[in-house]
Amino acid sequence: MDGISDTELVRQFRQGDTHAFSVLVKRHQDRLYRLASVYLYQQQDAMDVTQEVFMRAYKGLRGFRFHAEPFTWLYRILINVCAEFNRKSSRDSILQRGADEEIARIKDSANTEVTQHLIEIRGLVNRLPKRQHEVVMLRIFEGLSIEETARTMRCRPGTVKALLHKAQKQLRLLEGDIL
Amino acid sequence: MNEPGRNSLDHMVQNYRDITIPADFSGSVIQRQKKTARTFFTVPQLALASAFAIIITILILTDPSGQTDITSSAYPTLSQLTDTTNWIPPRGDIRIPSLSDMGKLPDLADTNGIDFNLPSLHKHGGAGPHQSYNIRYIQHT
Repeated sequence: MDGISDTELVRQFRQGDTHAFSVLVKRHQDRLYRLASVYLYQQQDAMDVTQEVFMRAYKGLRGFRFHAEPFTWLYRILINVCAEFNRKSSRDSILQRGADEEIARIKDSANTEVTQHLIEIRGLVNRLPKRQHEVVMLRIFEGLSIEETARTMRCRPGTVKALLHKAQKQLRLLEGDIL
Repeated sequence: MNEPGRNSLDHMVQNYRDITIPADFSGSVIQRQKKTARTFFTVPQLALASAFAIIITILILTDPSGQTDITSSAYPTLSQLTDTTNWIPPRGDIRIPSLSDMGKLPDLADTNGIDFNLPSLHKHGGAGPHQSYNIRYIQHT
């Protein structure tokens, strides 16, 4: 099933091929987990959120109307779940927090290599406005095309290019500080 | 961006893409115990909670199905669900070893006439490979 598109997998799942859902999970779990890891503070939280995304997807896939790519749909769920998670936890979204505050917060947590990488990444992208943050994560870090990024963010490709341009300009200003 | 900056960003991107979900994802926590702030209850709230607890206890003790034992060992497993000779009780949890197994649930629902209350999915067991998910199911009426 590896060569089958996400859309086709969803169709198969809706027709009763339950294995298709497992393939979807395996195909997107790393990407969603990585994004959640950047949007949230703790990797354990990211795992919870990733699972919640798949839970909601499982419940909602039978009503999926193919107006968007399945990944776009999963990504929107992820953003919503992250927002809910932050609200429930009485925490502000990572998108509005500064890197210094975050480092202070997690300094007692496990100092793994991955954690360090995530701190660096958050330190970079969290200084960007929310939409620029999103575009940098999807286009630069996840390597989506301009068109894929636009579909995922529900905007035009031109908007993605403009946001990317602004973000890169901002990152250039920050590079002496961070990079 | 200048070259050192570009290299740093490239390293960040590479490090980022190397991140994969932990191997125990399928057995990981679905609904972790939330850390809640200390809460002070009023007397009426406590009285109400006590009354509710008593009612629930009475309901459990008088449960005609006899399914009062909800210890983990009493939960049916996925294989038990498919075994018609060892039919599961009408209340309780289904234990599935991984999220991928969720794909099997519709079949079970079709064959056994049950539905699933997915929001109640919760973790069973501690950290490690022996974790599993419990899914509370409800019987079709």
